[in-house]
Amino acid sequence: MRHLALTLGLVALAGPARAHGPAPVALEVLAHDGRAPLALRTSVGLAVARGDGTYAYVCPARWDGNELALAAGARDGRDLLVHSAGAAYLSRDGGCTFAPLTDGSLYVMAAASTGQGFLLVAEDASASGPRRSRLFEVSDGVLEELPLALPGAVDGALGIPGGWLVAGHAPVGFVAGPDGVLATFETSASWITPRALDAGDLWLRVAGADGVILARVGAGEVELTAPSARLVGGPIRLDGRWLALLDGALHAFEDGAWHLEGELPWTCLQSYEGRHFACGLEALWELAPGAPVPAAVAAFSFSQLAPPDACGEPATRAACGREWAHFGGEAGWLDAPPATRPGEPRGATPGSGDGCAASSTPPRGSLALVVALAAFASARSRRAMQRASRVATRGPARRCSS
Amino acid sequence: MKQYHLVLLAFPSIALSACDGGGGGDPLRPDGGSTPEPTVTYHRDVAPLVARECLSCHVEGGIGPFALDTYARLVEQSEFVLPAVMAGYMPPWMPDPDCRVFEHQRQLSAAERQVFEQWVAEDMPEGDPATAPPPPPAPPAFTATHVARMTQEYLPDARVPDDYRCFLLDHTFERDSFLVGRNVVPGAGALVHHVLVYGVPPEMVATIEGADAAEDGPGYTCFGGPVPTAMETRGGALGLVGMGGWVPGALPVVEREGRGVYIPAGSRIVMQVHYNLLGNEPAADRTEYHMRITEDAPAQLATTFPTVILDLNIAAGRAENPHRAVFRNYRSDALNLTGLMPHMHLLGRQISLHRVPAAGAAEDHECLIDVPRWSFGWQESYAVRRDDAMTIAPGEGLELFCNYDNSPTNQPVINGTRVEPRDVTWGEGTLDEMCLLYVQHETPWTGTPPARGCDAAADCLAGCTSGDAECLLSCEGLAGGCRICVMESTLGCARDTCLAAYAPAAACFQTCLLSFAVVGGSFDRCMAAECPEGTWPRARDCVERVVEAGTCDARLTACGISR
Repeated sequence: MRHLALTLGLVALAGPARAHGPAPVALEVLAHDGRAPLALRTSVGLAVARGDGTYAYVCPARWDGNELALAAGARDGRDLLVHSAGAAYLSRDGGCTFAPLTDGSLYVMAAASTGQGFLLVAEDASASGPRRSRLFEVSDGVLEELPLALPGAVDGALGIPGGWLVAGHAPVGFVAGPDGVLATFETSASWITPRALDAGDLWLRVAGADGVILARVGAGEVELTAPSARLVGGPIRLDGRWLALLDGALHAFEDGAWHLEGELPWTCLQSYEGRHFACGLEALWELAPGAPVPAAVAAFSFSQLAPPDACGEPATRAACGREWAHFGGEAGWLDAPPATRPGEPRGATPGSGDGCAASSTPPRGSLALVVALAAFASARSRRAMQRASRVATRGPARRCSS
Repeated sequence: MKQYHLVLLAFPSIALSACDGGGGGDPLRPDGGSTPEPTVTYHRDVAPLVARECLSCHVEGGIGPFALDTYARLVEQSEFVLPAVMAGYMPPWMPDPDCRVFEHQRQLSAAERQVFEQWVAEDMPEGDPATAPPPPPAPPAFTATHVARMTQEYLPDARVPDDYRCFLLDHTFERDSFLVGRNVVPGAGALVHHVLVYGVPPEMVATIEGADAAEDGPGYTCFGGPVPTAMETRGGALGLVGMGGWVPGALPVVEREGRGVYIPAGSRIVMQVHYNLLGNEPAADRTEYHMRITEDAPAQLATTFPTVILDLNIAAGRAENPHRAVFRNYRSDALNLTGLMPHMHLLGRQISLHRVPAAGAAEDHECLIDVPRWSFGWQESYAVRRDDAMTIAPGEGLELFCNYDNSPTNQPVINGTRVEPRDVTWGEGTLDEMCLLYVQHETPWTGTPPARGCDAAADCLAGCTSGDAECLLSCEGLAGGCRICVMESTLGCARDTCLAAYAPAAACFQTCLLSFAVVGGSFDRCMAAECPEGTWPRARDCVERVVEAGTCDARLTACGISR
């Protein structure tokens, strides 16, 4: 009853909030050619490199309209797999068009890139009772089920060099790979996903009633590593150290626990084929090996994002336009052409990169940018860029002849 | 802790790219001379619709991301605006009109959308300004009797995209008053995304002042509401008085003739402001709250209660997490609803409220509000139309329904970090969830101010011939906090002793505890109606014995009730 009293008290105070959406942010590199990201997942859809330093906005309308969909990309960035609300969609043309990969009989829970293809984790959509996962390999657009017995339902998948890992929690915690189950363990967790594998350490993200904790799996043992957090990024292994973001603060793993390194304006940590990336509210940064963290190179910024290409059916193109207006309008992208290098303000290159014609210059110059990041500085620079964009906006909208 | 500082060492040189910035003409500009006489023009047909539905946000300096207040600006943005309008995506309006149409519904009809469609088909002709219809009569100017202000300017926190801040305003109500009109005037119009205003009754003023003093700078941080969790005690926060709010596009609110919100003498005002800093440089804000106040008692009092489901269990990975609860009206009078305000957080998919008939009645459920695609970013309150009657008779109920999608592909991005699934329960944090729908209703003014604290309990005990527990649990007119206190001090106090007697009535206990706490009325009447025959009298007798033995006296005294 006391609980009722206290909570009802809170109810009376629970003031509704109103925001028209969070700030757009890069979430993950899906493909990289060794010089620049080829495809990224962002909080507003995908971004695919156009070869001129700009990125085409791949709008959610091309699958089911869900900008929060998850995605995986093949190494060349042409094959992109998106899954949303239990359905998977495959693009074989760099995100221009997507076709359903599954029918309604499967409910897709997770996917991972295996380099040239994908691993897909699904459950029977009509099944009742305990969850039971099925694994599929997607190669050349063809779905083929893998005959692998798992001790429980899969929560998440991770692509690793030459293969994949899956993990789950029901009815027991487990990790498995193409060769079978690697570890099982008792757990009260509600969601377990594989996060990283390097130097013999396998890391799991374990969500439970008390928050999220990173767990290290080695030699069949599962070690929960303090502290727990609400939001976790990484871990990644950089210069022989494991680093993770715990509630927005950078931590390093030493002596069996995570120790605070400092606060950074980073929102994710990710490794992709030996490269290491950090997301920020304005840009995606590539961490420079051998340099003290947080030395980083700007690898992508939203100022490079161009309107969606004219792909697909007219209705899809119209819906794409709406999504571009919705996300881009609030973020200040509509008024000026995109930049061709990360960190460059939108509209800074007259006549450049609104997606119509491309210079052949790749964004190599940006890789020479080395910045040391500051807490809180990102938001300010973001606004400054948007302000600069808006200054250059007063003319009528331009269109390119093709 | 290390702090890192930004050192931008170099920017790349600007790469050249070839683009035809205007070749082929500007297809967005109509070629008025080569087309037949247009049937739809901007000045005559389109501008009035834009003015009605868009310009409360989409003006220079407004919160909309671009202005649409001239022909040139609308044409400039038409590539984005018109598809959104024609698809019904703009103007934003969440409630399903097939369920209910509310006051000030921001929606274009199909015929009005067709006007836009035709205009585009005819290459967006400007037409003759002289053909513009006369502007609709301006709403009567809002005249305030009092203005409450932040005590000093506040510069929103640039470190986060969303800054939620509460401010104790500079106005104190010297006498019992009735709020009959209100208007929020944002200071930094491009930053302020919402404002919620609460009256702080005298017994809570010290709590809010303490919260204000505990944090440096003007005001204090408050995401969930104005009372910090650590300062919340025994449901007392139910005593806050809702004094309205503001969202972009909101108009001044004048209560219907003869209706007002009661504000007791000694009250102050606390205001929560949500600053959204995306795309805008922080600027000093000093939002004002304009009031029309009278000391003349109205015919009707406007009051608010929250229907709520606290026992949320939103499983990690699961796409469907439906929750449902019924709140019965066991007051002696009908509830005349005048406004509804749904609230969920980021996993919410659908929220609705239905009127359910009294037990045994064969009527269908009646839809009161349905938000089939919940969006945290577009929530607001909805006023019942004057020509609509939303009445919940005694014995009838309100069924609240909330559904959540906690699947991997519906996880929110919070301050830049994508969340992964986890089991989610009730809470006021952004990673928690709520199922909450505020219901505003009106009741006749009886000449006596609404109960505060547990003063009304003493009157009930004095005039009661039954046992004290039965008397208190039948007592109507108790304030919200007191109702919870009464339940704790009787039913809760006797729980260990009476568990066996409670068990057969478990389901109706759940219904009536919530109904009594939220809607008020008589707990005793609810149990008598809802429970299997004979079960409630047995449980009540047990509670009565425990209370009569004095076991619960300390708890009752703590509520301010003397037996």
